[in-house]
Parts: sequence; C-alpha cells; structure tokens
Amino acid sequence: MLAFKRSLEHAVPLSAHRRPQREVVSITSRLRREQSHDKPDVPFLENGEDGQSSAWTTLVRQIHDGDEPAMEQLYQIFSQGIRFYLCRQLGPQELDDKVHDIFVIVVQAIQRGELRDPDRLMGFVRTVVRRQVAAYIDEMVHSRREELNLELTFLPDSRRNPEQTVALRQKVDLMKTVMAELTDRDREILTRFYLNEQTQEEICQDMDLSDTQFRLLKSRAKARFGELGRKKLQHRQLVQVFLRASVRK
Amino acid sequence: MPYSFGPHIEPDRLERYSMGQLSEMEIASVEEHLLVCAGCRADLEQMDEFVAAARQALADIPRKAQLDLPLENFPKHHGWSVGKAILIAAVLILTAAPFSLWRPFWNTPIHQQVLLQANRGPDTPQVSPGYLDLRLATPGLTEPGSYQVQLINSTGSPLWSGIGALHRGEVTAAVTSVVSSGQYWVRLFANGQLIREYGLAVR
Repeated sequence: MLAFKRSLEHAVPLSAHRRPQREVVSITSRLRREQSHDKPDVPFLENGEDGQSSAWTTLVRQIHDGDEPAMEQLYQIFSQGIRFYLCRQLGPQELDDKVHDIFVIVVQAIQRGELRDPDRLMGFVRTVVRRQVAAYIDEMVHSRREELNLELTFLPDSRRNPEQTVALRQKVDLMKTVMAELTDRDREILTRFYLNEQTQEEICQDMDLSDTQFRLLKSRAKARFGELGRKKLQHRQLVQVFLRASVRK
Repeated sequence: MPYSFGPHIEPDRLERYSMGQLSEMEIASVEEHLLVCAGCRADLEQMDEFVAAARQALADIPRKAQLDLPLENFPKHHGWSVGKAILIAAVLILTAAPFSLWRPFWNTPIHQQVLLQANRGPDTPQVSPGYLDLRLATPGLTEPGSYQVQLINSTGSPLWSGIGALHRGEVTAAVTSVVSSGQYWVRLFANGQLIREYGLAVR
C-alpha cells in the first residue's frame, strides 16, 4: 500500500513510464495480501438506499483525505470488475499494469476533487475505464502504423487457444443437438435472433409471436443446452472414475 | 467477498448486452453493475458462451427455404395472402429476366490484383469486394521458398490463409474466398514467424 501511495505522489500512471511488471505485482499483491487482515466495519457493505449513498460519500471522502484502508476498499470493490472489463475489451495482455493505471487515475481524480457527486463513484470509475480502453486502442493503432521493424513487435494472437477452440467446438456440438430437437419454425426464430441479429420486436411481428412465447423458446433452448452440458460433464466424470478404478486393478 | 450493488441484471438484458444490442444508457447501468458484481459477471461469461455456440451452430445448420415451410407458418399482414405474394414475385422475376440476361455478370464477384507495400498511416490501398490477388512488396527479402499469407479481419479473426510465392521482390498469393467490405490486415509469415503486416481496406 505504501508503494501504491508513493506511485500516487509521483502522479504518473504506469503506461507513461512502463514500470517493471514486478513492481506493479508487488503493489497490487500487497493490497491482496492485506485483504486477510481484520478490517474495521464499513457501513456501506450493508444494503439500504440511504446507507448506500452515505457510504459512497464516506469512501470518497476518506480517499480524498489519503486514507489507506479506504483505497484498499476501493481496490477490493472494483479490481475484479475492472480486470473483467479490460480483458473483455482488450484481451489478457498486461492486465496488471492497466488495472494499476486505472486505480492511480481514479484515486488522483478523487484527491483533486474531480468527483463532484460521490454517489456516482461507480459511474465515474466506469467512465475512467472506458476512456483508458479508448486510449489503449488508440496507442495500439498508432504504434502499429509507426512500427518500422515488425520482428521486434509483439503481435498477440487474438484467436482462441487450442483448448478454447476445442471447448467451443464441444459447446457447438451440444448446441446442434439442441437445435436438432426444435421444429423448423423454432429454429428459424432463433436463427433470426442469434445469427441475423433481428430484434425481439421484429421477430415477434414477422413470425406472429408474443413476447412470452419468444422468451419461453429461448429459455427452453438455454435450459436444454445446460442440461446436455451437465450430462456430458457427468459422463466424463464417470468415465474418469471407471478409468481410475481400472488402473488400480 | 463479492460486493453487490443494486438489483442484478435480468437475463434478457444480459443477453442483449452480450450481443451488443443495448442502448448507450442501458449499457452504462449494466457495466456499472458488472464492475462490482461477481455473480453477474459469471452469468455474462456463460451467456457469451451460449451466444457464440448458438451462432456457430445455427450458421452450420442448413436453413430450410421459406417456401418449404408449411403455409400456416407464413405470417399474414394487412390481409395479404400468400397467393398474391407469389404472383407478384413471379411478375417481378419475369420483368427482371431480360435485364439480367443483358447483364449476366452483374453480381459475379470480380477478380482484382492489389499491390500492398507497407502498413504505414492512412494510405492503405482500397479495393472493391471480390476475389483478391495479393502482391506483397517485400524489399530486402531474398530467401527463396514459400511463405504463409494470412488475411485477418478488423476483429483479429483470420478469414483466409494460404501459401505465397516470392518472385522479384514480391510475394504473390491468390485469396480463394470472396472478400467483403471492411478493414483487413494481411500477414506474411516465414517458417511460422510473422515478418510483415499490411493494411487493406475493401469498400
């Protein structure tokens, strides 16, 4: 936490300096280790509208005052969500650096008094994350244009890895089983929605369906998909049990 | 311990978010909740898998032609009958037939040769959709042999890959799939290593 606070004093996100990965890991891992320590009760962990808004205000005020436990609380609340969003938008590369950058920006902004409405902390964090994503994409586009020596450029492969490819293929096979059990009309409805990306309203109007019928069809397909997936998983587990038993013999 | 804030996201809304069908305002509220709710993030991951599998499966399954469906499946709008619709379609076809005979290759994809020199700034070559014969300028590349060429779309997914031949400072490769409008990258590999990348715009 001390190193994290020091990084705030220097007031420059990691992306500007490209700090070594181990220093970033030490900052965030220190925060994660200290999660196991006893923490004072924080009022905003309770549900309740009024308690919620005053809790955000309290948190923002504490961060503004430089309170370290408050910064840790901010990290605990948002770090996984930010990491999830960044991975979804940009891929898994350099996630620790990017999460750290965003936290530095958010905390500095709070300490400069830029968050006018503390109750909108979630929206504020989301805005910072989206702007950083745009900045990262812009940086990637420019660096690809200006890079002269491609041998030195790391171009991450955006395709799925072989394990993910196999997993998707298995799911697609399960889905084909689900689709084969449907009538042509039901399959047409799902094709219009998932493949042609028509809206629910358009499909219901064209195919003379009610909203309820449309939702029921989708939920039946999802339930059947989940059921087949669980059966397959159980079968695989059974096979493993039999294999283990046969090896022991 | 996961921290939850406000009501969880309904499955329909989560699905529409996964498919990119929400308005900006709806996206804002969904993404704010996802920042703090591990349960909804897990649901979204499952939803993404379901949507991806559904799209792939439905794309692979041959779709029955509309005219093959039983007549009771046809929607009825404003009193129109199916018979009237078929009659009108027949009239249109008979009217358009002479025009299509005059222009028999109207919709046939065209072959184009395109020279790609470098991935520098906005001056990427622009071509029309169709079949592409790529000529990749490779100054300084002298090692004879075959090279692998890959066509990548703007989302990073490979659309086509093939073998290119080096001749007089250029690697040539014929893309055997029809390339539709969009922004693409052409990657050149030697022995599995990426050695060049070019930008290509198809309009």
